[in-house]
Amino acid sequence: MLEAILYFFAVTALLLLCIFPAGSIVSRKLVSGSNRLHLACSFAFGVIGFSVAVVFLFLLGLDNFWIQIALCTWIVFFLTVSFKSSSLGFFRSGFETLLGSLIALVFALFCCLMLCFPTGAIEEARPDTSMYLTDLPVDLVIPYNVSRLMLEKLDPNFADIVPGWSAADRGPLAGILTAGIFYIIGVSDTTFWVNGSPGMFFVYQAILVLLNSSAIFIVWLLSAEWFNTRAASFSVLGLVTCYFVVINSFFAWPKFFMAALLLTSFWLLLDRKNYLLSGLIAGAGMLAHDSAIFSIAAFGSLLAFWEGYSFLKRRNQLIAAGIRLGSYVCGFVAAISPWLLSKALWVQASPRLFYMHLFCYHSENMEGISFSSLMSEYFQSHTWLDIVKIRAINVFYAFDLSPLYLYLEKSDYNLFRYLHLLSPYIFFQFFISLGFPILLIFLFVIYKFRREKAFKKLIFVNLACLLSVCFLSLISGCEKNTVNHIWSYPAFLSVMTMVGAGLSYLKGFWPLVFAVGVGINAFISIFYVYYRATIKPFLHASESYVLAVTSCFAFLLVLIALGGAGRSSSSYTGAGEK
Amino acid sequence: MGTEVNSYIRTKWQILAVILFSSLLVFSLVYLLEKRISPSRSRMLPAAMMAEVHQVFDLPKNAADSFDIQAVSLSGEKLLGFIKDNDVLNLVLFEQGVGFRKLTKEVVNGLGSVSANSELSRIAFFTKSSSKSQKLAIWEEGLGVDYPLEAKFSGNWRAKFTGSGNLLILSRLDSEAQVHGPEFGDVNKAFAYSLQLDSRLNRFVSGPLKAPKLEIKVVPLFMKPEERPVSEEILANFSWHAEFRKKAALDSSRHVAADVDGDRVSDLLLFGVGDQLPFWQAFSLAGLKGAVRSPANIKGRRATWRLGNNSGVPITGDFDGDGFLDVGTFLPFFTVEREGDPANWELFLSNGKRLMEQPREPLSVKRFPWGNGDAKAVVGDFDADGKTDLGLYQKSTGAWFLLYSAGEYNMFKASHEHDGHSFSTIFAPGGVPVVGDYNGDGFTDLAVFTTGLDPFQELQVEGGQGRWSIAFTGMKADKKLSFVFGEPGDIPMPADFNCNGKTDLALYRPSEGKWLFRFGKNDIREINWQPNIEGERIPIVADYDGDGCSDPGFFIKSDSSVGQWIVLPSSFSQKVKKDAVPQGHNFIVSHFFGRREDFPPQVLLRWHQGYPRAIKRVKSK
Repeated sequence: MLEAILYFFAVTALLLLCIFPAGSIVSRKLVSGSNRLHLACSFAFGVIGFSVAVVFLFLLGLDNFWIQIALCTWIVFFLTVSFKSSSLGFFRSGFETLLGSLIALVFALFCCLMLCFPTGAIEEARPDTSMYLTDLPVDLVIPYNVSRLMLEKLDPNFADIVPGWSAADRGPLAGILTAGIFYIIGVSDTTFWVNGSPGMFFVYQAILVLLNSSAIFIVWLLSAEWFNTRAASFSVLGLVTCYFVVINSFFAWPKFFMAALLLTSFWLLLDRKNYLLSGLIAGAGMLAHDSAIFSIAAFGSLLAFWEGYSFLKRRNQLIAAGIRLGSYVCGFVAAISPWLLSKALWVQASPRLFYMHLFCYHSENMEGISFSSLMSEYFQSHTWLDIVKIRAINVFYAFDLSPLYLYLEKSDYNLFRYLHLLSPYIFFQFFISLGFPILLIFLFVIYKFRREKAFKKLIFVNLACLLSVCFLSLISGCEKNTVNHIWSYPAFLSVMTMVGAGLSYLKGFWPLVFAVGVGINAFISIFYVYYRATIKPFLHASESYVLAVTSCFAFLLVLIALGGAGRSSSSYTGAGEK
Repeated sequence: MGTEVNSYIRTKWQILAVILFSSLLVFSLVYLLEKRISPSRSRMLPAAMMAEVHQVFDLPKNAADSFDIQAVSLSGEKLLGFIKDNDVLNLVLFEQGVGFRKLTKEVVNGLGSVSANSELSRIAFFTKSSSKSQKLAIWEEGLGVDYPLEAKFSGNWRAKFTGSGNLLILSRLDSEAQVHGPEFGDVNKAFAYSLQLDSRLNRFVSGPLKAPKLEIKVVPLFMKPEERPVSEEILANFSWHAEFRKKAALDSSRHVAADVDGDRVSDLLLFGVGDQLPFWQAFSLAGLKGAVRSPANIKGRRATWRLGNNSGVPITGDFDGDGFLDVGTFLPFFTVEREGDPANWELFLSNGKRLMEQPREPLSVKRFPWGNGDAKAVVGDFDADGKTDLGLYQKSTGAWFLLYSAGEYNMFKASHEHDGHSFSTIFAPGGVPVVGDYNGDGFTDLAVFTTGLDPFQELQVEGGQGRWSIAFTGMKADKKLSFVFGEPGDIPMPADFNCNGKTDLALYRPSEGKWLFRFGKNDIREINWQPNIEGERIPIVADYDGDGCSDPGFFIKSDSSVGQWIVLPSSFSQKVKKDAVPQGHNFIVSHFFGRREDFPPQVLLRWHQGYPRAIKRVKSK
């Protein structure tokens, strides 16, 4: 177990060295604002910059050894320059930022250790371990195989990236970052297609867990920036005890990583009105995972609506509004155009995902299937009323709370049976995942603080994130398609931020409601992760594994409590801010 | 936008220090991670595990030259041997940390040869009883010295334990060699004697016990070399002067099957079946020279390794192309879920050293998962790069999958059918794989032996004849050939028996006790030979005499014998001119080596591939 911890920190150090020095230099040059925003943007720009470097070196066709040398030079160069230009704002941030980063790091460690089931050895972190712990499909290998395709310089069109999916069906960002780390380490996994070499897969899992945990860090920074550290602590506590968040953080798909980038993008736009860079970071979110499109579309629509509203109020700002929106679109397109270009010219995308959502076509057989044939078939089998009804049901489905009481009787009032029956809904449906007490707080906070300035921005973000379900519903051809893992990641972050922010100002019984909500969520998480999954760590893992994982989580709670103890203001904006 | 702040570092030296620090940091992280996670380094066997089997001794410098090691004691880190002191040989025990200890006051006769059995820590030697005669002595750890025979020996004799340790062979080394004693009686003129030792002592006894008298039974072996019957079995414990020919055209990069000591002679290699741990053991042969120090000058004749998966099928070959034998295991019917292990192939690479020399350091390991269901492992150099490649043959579908070692067993590229990494083709279902280089182009060809089916035409063949269907790889990759040769029940034993560099079609027919060789369309030869020994007679093939041609043989398992190797060497051809095979045969070599659980890897691989076992027990005459 100690070995896993040591190597986790080694991977962390390497990843941060690749991302932060370069990102902080760019961020310091391009973004003005507080140290917290600067840190968030450092992460986003670092990710983008490092990925661009990796892809550039890959496209040069260099030998892996020379790519390794170049990327090591990248780290040394940017570390030196960032020291020289004092761009590493992290070192000048206060205790609260350090605490936030430590919380995110310990959460990532917790997730990473969980994957080393059952002995705690790093060889245990394998695709099958992860799949059995979560009962989720093979998607976690997609970024890993993208990195392997790059390392081995293979044609991505030869075979599916994982059975049934093409390499172009998912955004490549996490895969590129993983490839970059593997280039630097100088290793390449030569095992079979859907397998993972034990040690390397641990590194990959650690990278993905760290990227996903960045969402926790961004939420902390945003909460601390707009509200206070007490709000940040509540938000993070709500997130780390939520079953959906835990599962999706340690399952190696980069969806919370995408959400972290989107949140940074929204923050940058709302605080600094930097439409171009915000669009660029949103584009990076899209490259992290394609499901970002729904949140971006919702946010863009709200933005357009807001700009339109401003135009109606002050008609002389039409050109300025157009430029702002245009900048956002330009930034977004600049980020995703290389990927779109490569999809058009090189990496062949399968229409499967498209057909699945649009026409409810679930077969893997794409032979002889065309868009027009599926569309005509769909319209033949559905009336207009059916189509509208499906859309409406989909919007409702995400927020449907009826399973909470429907299964109460079916479970014979047995708690474990009830949770067992409810488990699919806890994973699929947004409000049920969130938990009823948390939902109550969320609704109350919106009502209570709707006129507060800081809350207005957050409500805007929440609205955008929740509205994304409407965009998903719009394209969904079948009922109950608005499951959480397609759209809800930014929404989880924004809702929890809202809940935490409100709680930091609320008194009375609301903290108690939150405690109950968190307690229920934590119980459900423990129950599902440790007892319900195919493999059951509490029953089969070694003592050292259970001890390490529980100690890690306990330490995480202590750190969060430490943050929640004070009510520090967000007045610190960093040295040198203009 | 942007901010300007005071720099942390200002001078050139500070910048240099930061560069050095960050370089060191990156290097440390990369080194730390690469060392642990690199697929080629993962799961390397711990050195301690190897050390349990292979002791390493640091002999005093002045003793190292004069100390003639004869045996390694498995009971501890002890070496048995002789030290010459003022022209007198002494039996000594060397123990790490203790030094040398003289074991007997008897003076060892330097003229006679000695023999040791390392597994039992038992050593046989002659001691001087008078100026002209000598006595046979046996020293065993915990039992001390015993004199099993009353007989007096004169002249020059050799004493040799067989591998099992239960048989001691006494043979005359010159015309002066005589023996006088009640045990020898009328057979005093026998050329050699075997002494059957009491099997009850075939165990390690700890502590200083009173040495019991060994019960021995003397059996004359044969009278004179020139009267030696052709099919009579003898035990190869003689300094036989044979003419060895190395095949000049033999590619130096190619390894010889089961050659553990790198002397280009196949050795006796075994893999334990059913052991709790994987157990390989080898006994180094030196061609027909028998029990002398190997020409490769490897100290020690026997070695053991714990490598691979004990439930797996042993495979051998030169997987890294260094010319020396590598070993490995393949676990069939593999699923990660069932085994809880992500690998079913494990290859242990000799890395440019003889396998026999490997005890001192762990071999490098390649582990990967490949193949499931009823896929059968095959090995051969399918791309003629001098390295043994891996293959899978799926009998139920007739599908072949090859994984080239040239691609470093890169499964990821292989699964993408990247050039030089993998190959797949399909025959009709059925048959057993009989891969070999049938056209001598250096590429191992894909072939199956079927009865009643033509895999290329998917037609039933009349009469239930055996059919060899060969699909050439390499230079004649598009060519396929079929030969009707054999019948149901035959065991295909393809190998190069006539030294022409091509694999010959060959069979062992258990029903008739006959070996058949097809050297050409009208050149089919046969040897009516099978040892008249009770037990399971398992046909084997390897180059046991080191002449570059394969030798047919048997590995015999019986209730009384833990493993007897009987080989028909091909290298006496020029002298004797027996025409059964072009290189002739008239001399049978036998060794006892192995435990009850042990089988030669080639046998286990063939059984895994679906070859018939041909169990037949006969009563010995």
